[in-house]
Formats: sequence, C-alpha cells, structure tokens
Amino acid sequence: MSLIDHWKDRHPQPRGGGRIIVYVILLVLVVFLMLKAEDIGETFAVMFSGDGDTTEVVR
Amino acid sequence: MSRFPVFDSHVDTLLRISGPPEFLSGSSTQLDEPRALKGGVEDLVLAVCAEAERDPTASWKKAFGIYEELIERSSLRLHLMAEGCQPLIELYPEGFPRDLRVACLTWNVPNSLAGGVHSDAGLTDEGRALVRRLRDSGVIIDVSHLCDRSRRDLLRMDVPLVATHCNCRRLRDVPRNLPDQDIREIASMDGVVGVTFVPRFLAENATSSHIVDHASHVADLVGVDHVGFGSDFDGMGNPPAGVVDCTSWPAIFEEMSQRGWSDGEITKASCSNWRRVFGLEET
Repeated sequence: MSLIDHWKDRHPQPRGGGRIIVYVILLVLVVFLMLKAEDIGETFAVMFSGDGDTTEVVR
Repeated sequence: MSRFPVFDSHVDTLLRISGPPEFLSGSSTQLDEPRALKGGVEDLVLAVCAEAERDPTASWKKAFGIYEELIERSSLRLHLMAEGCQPLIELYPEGFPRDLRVACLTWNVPNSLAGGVHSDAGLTDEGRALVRRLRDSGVIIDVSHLCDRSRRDLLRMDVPLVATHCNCRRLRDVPRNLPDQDIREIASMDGVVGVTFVPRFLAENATSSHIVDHASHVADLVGVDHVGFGSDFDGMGNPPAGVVDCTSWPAIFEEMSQRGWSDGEITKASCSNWRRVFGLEET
C-alpha cells in the first residue's frame, strides 16, 4: 500500500450519503412544484393581484 | 551488476543534460542509463530543481519535455519530482502532470509557499493550499529542502511525508539534515528517509562509510523499514571518497553487509521501502 493510500486509510473521507439526501429532497421539491404549479400560480395571483380594486395610476 | 536492486529517490540529472540521448547513451554527468543499469538502478526519481535556475518556468518546461521523452524510451522505471513548487502554481492551476509523484515546496531559498533552508520562514496559506492539492492528487510531499520552521508546520498538517535526500542532524549538524524527532515523526506516518551522498551533509572528509553511518542511525532510530537512499547524483559537486558515480552502489551495499546488515535489510533500504511508499510492485 502506497504512502498516500496508507494516509487515506487513516483519514477516511466523509461519506457521500449526506449529499445524496440533499439531492433527493431537491428532486421531491421539484416534482411537487411541477404537480402543484397551477394551484401555486393561482394563490400567487390572488395574493399579489388582489381582487381587482386596485387602481393603476397613469400619468 | 549489483545483486541489490536500487531505487534512488533523488537525482538532478534532468537539468544537467541537453536532451534524452545523453541520458540514454552515456554522458559526462554522474548518472546516465548505461551506468545506472551497471550499478543495479531500477527506479529513479528525476528531480526538476527549476527554482535554482534563472528562469524556473522555462527550466521546468524544458526538463519536463526531456522527462516525457525518456519515459517512453528508458528501460529504467522513472518518476518525476518537483524540487521547488513555484513553477507548478503557474503552469498547473487545475491538475498536475500524471507522472508527478513527489514534490518539495521549496529549494534552498524561500518562495511564496514556504521557507527553504536558507531562511526561517513558515508555511504560507498558499503553501498549505498547495500541499492539500498535491496530497489529494496523490503526490507525496518531500521535506528535504525546508527550513525547520516550515518542516514543523508541515508535520503539524498531518500529510504523508518523506525526505528524499536528507541525512541525520545527530551525526552532522547542518540545516539540511533532520533532527531525530522529525525522523521519528516521518517514520510514524510510514514515510522513508533517503540518505544522501552529498559530502557536506555526511561528515568532514566524507567517505562512503559515512553514508552507511547515516543509514544505520535511521535504522537504529526508527527501524530498517524507514531507510532509503536518495543519492543526489548530478546535484552535488564531488561525491564522497569511495563513490565515483552511479556505478558505486554495490560498494556501498558491500560495506553495509560487512557492518552487519542482512541481505533482506539491505534490499529494504536499497529499493523495497521506497517502492512501498510509491505503491509500486517489486520488479
């Protein structure tokens, strides 16, 4: 075993499991957003457009 | 032909020749292939001490070009070493050459990475970053030319270290030699100390017998598994008395034998320990 391999044996790198979990969570989030895109869009429209009583000022 | 194969962990021949033919066919240097084969040399670490040259970057490029040609044509197993890493910063910002196996951060003078033996500088942040890059690329770090402060900084970094061409300060008190404590720490990481033939690092009026003295001191201190040789052929002026050039290896082994080293122990020091460090198969 080379000196470098010997050193790596004594200094195990952190496993990649944590990173995989983050990727899975991101994937679930993206799928969720795709499925619920319409509802979310409507909710935003209600929140930010109001119910039509705002007045646009044109100068 | 020597009955003990040789792994020489440090020669400076690359910057002493103008091209591959001198190495392959014979030259006036202290080492070339025909004489190396006669001396039993099988593995050779060719150092590029570019920082000792007027234009380090151009010197590195030239030496690396010769090395690339030699690796195709030589019957020896060749390995590349950077002796002073300043050119690497400029030339290889992404990845190092595949053949680069060992690197010493400095030559004798300080650079932006660390302090050489002619200084008292410590390891810089840039030096630490490069050490991590080298380590992650599988390059072994050599402490040979570092001053005490930089070497201690490196030892505290807990990276795999060797000394490719150093002797023992206990026997010869010069800055280029290693204190016993540092030899112990290198050995504790499974590293090897390559005893060198440079006369002023051996003794006053140095002879081949002093080479065996230093090898024996390392063996007594940390065990025969951590003894190697790094001659520094073509990096020194005149070799010690009893050594002519790279054909002189058998005489050194003969003296080791006379002083009680077994054949197995000599083989470990002559090649096996360095091969273990480099992860190489026995030939």
